[in-house]
Amino acid sequence: MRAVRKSRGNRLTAMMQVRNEADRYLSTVLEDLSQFVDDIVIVDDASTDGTPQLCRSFSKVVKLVVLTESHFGREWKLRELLWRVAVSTGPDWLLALDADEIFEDRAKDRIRALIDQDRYDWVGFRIFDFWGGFTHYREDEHWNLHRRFTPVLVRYLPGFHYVYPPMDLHVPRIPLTYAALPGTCSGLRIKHFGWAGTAEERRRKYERYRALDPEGRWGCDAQYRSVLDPNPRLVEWREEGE
Amino acid sequence: MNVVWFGHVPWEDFADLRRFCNIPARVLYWVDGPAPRSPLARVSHGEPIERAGADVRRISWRRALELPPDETVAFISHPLWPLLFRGWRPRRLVAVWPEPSGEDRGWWYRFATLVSGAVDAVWAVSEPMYLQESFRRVGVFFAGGGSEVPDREGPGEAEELFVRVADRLMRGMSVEDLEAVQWRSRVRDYEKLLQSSGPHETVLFLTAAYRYLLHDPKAEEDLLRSFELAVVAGRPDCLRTHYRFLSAVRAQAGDIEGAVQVYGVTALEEGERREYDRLRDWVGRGERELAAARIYCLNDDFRSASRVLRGLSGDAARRLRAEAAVRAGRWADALQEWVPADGRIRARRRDAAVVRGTIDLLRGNRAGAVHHFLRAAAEDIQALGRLLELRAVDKHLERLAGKGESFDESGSKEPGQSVDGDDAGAQ
Amino acid sequence: MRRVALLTHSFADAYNGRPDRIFGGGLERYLYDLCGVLREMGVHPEIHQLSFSGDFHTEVEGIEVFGHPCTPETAPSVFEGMADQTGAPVIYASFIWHRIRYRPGSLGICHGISWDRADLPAVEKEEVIRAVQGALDQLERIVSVDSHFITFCRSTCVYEDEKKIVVLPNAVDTRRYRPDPAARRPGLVRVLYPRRISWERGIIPMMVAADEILDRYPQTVVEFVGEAVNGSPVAEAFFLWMEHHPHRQRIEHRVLSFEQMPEAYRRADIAVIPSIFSEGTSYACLEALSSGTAVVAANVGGLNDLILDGYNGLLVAPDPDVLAEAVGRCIREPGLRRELGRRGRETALVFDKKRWRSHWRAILEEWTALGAG
Repeated sequence: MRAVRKSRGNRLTAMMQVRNEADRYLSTVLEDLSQFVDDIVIVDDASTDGTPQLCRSFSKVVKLVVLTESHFGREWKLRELLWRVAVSTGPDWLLALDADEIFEDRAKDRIRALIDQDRYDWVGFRIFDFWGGFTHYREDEHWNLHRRFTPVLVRYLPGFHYVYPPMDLHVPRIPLTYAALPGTCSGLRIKHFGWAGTAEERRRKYERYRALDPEGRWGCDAQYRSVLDPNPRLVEWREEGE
Repeated sequence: MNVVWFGHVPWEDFADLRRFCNIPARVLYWVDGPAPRSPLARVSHGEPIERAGADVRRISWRRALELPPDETVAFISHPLWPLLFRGWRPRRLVAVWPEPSGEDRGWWYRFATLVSGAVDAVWAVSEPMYLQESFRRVGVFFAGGGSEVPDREGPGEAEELFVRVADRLMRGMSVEDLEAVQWRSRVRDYEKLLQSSGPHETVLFLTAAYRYLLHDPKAEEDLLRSFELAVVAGRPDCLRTHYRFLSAVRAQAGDIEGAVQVYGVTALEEGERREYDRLRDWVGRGERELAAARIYCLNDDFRSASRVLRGLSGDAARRLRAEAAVRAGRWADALQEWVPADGRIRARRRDAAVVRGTIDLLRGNRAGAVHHFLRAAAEDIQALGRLLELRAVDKHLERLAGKGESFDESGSKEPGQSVDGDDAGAQ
Repeated sequence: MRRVALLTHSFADAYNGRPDRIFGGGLERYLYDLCGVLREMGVHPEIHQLSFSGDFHTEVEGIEVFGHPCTPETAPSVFEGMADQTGAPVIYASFIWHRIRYRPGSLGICHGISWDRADLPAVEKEEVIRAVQGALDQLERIVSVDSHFITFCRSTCVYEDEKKIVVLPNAVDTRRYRPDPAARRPGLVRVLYPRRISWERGIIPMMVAADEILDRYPQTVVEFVGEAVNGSPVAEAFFLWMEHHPHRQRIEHRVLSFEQMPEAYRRADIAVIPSIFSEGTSYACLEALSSGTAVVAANVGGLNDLILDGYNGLLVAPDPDVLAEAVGRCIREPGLRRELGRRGRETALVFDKKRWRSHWRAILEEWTALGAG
C-alpha cells in the first residue's frame, strides 16, 4: 500500500486555465514551466486567438481541454474543471499558475526540494504585481499580494475531500480544504505580469471586471478603481543576489 | 426483585431525573446522595416522597447493601457509589449520569467514565457523554434532551424507554436493539434543526455520528459538510477533529484501504505517522481486521473495535483487545489479555499496574489502588497522577458516605445515623 | 589572607528565600566540610552560588556567601559569570553537566553522575558528554566522589592526563556515627529510609516495597526520616499513601536535625538506600554503615563503590520487588543483619572523615603550589 505522502520521486504537474493568451505571456510561461515541471495540463476557456494551438506546440502539455463556451463569469466551475482534468493525470504535486505568472529564476533549481518531502502539503509564495513594464511592481494599500503567501503548489492526496467555494470571480486557485492540511511558506517569488502592459490594456481589463462584478461582490470596489490610479507607488524589482 | 437507587443528591433535590422513577416495582428504595453545597442549587424543597403506584422508601446506603444482591437491581447516579459496595454486586447495575455542575465537572466526567464500563447499562443526560459512551460500549441511552422540569403530562419517549430497558434488564434480556430508537430520534431532531437553521458544523457532525452508529452511509456526506464548515471557520486541527472520523466511516463501509489512507492524510505527528505505517503494513499483509480495529480505536470507537477483535488470534490482536478494553473501561477484560511476556516491557508493566489499581479503586480497595498506582509510577513517574487523583476521591467519598468515613475502613464501622432506616413518604 | 572561591549552584538556602541557613543537602554538607579544610590551611573561602530569590551577600556559619540572581534559563551563563566576580582562585564545585567556560587553572568537583537515567533522551546524554569533555579540556583537575565518573570520562571523553581525575569518596565521622546494639528493641525490626522524600532517592519503589514488608512481617516498623517538599507531587503521593495505610501504626515519618541523625541509625536494624539515579558515595549509606546498621542499597552510582553485595550490605536493582525481597531476607535472618552491620562498620572506617580531610589538603596544596593559590 502506497503512502499518501512521498518524500522522493514526486511528479510535478502544472495546471493552468487560459483564455486568449496567444499574444500575451503564455509562450514565455510555458517555455519557462517546461524547464522544471514534468507535465502541463491546460483548460482553454473558449479562446478565439489560436491559444490551443500554441499550447499544443509544447511537448510537456499532456492534456488540453478546449471549451467551446466561455466560463469566465463562472470561475468556480472552471477551477473545478481544471482540477478534475489535472488530477486525472495522476500527479503527485500540482502547481497552479496563471498564464501571466512566472517564477523567479532561482526557483527552477529549488522547487524539487520543496516537493520531495513528506511533512507538508502546500507551499505558499509571494506574488508581485508588475506594473506598466517588467522592472517595477506596485505596492500600496490595494496592491500588496506580495506581502502574503499564496498557496499555489499543492500535494495531490488521492481521495481527500476537495472543495472550491461557489464564487463567480477571484476563486482561490486551489481547493479551500487545503487550509486544513499542513503547509509551509517559501521565500521564492512569483512575478505576475497581468498589469505589466500599457495603460490602455489595464483600462480594458478594468472594464471587463466591472462589467462582470458591478457591485464589487467578488472583489473590493476600491481595488477595482485603483487600477486607474495615474500615479501608483512602484518599487523596483531586484533579482535575488543582484 | 428489589429496586434501589443510589442518588447523587437527596431525594428532595432529585427533580432532574425523578421522571425516570416509574420502574415497575412495588417499592423503590432510595439512598440519598450528598446535599448540594449551595442552597441555591437545590431545585425544590420538602416535596413528599411519592410516586404513582408504588412506595419510595428512603434507606441508608449501609441498609441498602443488606438487600440480597441476587434479587436487586441498582441504579446509581453518583459515580463513587460502587466504591462503597465492596463485595456487594447487584444482579443488575445501571448508571444514570446527570449533568454535573460547575467545579466538579472534570472530576465527575472522569469517574463516571471509569465506572461506566463496569455497569450493565448507562443513561446519560449530557449528550457528549452519551455519545462518548455509545462509542465505547453497548447498552447506552440518552436521558437528556427533554425539559429540565419533569413532564407532568405523561411519560416522554426517554421515560418509556427507560422502563423498557429496566424491565429487560430485570428479566436478564439484552437491551442492545433498543439503542437505535434513540439514535434515529437524534438524527430526526437534528435534521429538523438543519432544515430550520441551515447548515451548522456541530449539528452536521452530530448527525454524522448518529448515522454512523446506525450504519447509515449518509454519515459520510454530513461529516464532509461539517468538515468544510470547520475549514471555513478556521477551526485549528479540524483535520483530526473532523476529517479523521471519515476513516471510521470508511472502515465501517468495508473500505479498509480507504480508511487507512484517510487516516494517513491526518497523520502528521511522529506517533501518528508510525501508526499509519503500521496500518499500511497490516493491510499489505492481509490483516484487514486488525487495521479496521485499529482505525476504530483511533476514532474512539471501542465498541466496533471490540466487536471486530473478538475471536481474532495473535499477539497484535490481543494487545489491541487489551487497549480497547482499557479505553472502554472494561478493566477486568483488559487484565485477561495480559500475558507474562508483557512484563518485559516497561510501558505494559505500567499499564497493567494502572488497570489493577483501577479495579481495586472501583472495588473500594483504597490500599490496593494506592499500591498499584505506585507500582505504575515506579515504571513511569507520569502515572503518579492516578494516585494523586485519590485526593479528590477521598473528599467526595467523605461527602457521599458521611463525615469521617474512609472507604477503606468503613466496613468495620457502625452504621451512620443521619438517614438510617428513615422510611419516608409512603402514599 | 589568601582566598579561594567555591562556585556552586546551591549552598545557603536560596530555594526557600532563607540565605541565613545552609540548605540541607549532601552538596551543601560537602562544601561546608571543604571550607573547614581550607580554613585549617589558613585560606579564606568565599562561596558564590546561584540564587532564584535575588542577590545577597551574607555570612552563614562563618562562611562568606555571595548569591547571584538567575532564572532557570540564565543559570549556566550566570554560573559562568560568577568566576569573573572574584579575584580568588576558583573551585567549580558543581554544575559539571552544563556546558560552560571555565577559568583556566581551576579545580572542579563531580558529586556523582546525575544523568544516569535509562529514560533520559539520547540527545541530552550527548549534551552531557560535550559538557564533561569541556570540563576535562579546561580544568586543571577534577575531584570525583565516586569511581563511576572516571569510568564515564574514560569511556566517553578524550583526555591526555590520567591524573586529571582524582577519585576521593565521601566520608563519614565514624566517632559520631557508632554502633549501639542496646539502642535496638528486641522483637521489633526497624527499617529506616534515611533520605529526602524525593523521586531520585527512590521513594516510590520504597513505598511499594514497604507495602510488601509491612504485610508480610508484622514485627516490622518502617521509618522515613527526611524532608518532603510540601506541594510536590511525590510528597503529596507519600502522604496519600501513608494517611489511610492499613498498617499506618507501623509507618513513621519524621524530619530530624543533623544532630539527631546518629540516634536514628543506631536504633534502626536495616537502612534502605533505594536511589533510582543521581547517586554518589551517599552520606546516608556511609552513616548507616558506620552505625553498624545492615544496609540494603540500590546498585546505582557511587553506592556500588561502598557496598559489596552480601559482604557489607545487600546491593540490588532499584526495583520494588527486589528491594522488598532483600529487606525481607534481612528481617528473616538476624544473623545476616549482625554480620552485615559488623562489616559495614569496618568498611566505614576506611571512609573516615580524617582521611578525607588530609587527602583534600594534599590536593589543595598541590594545586596552590602550581600557582593557583
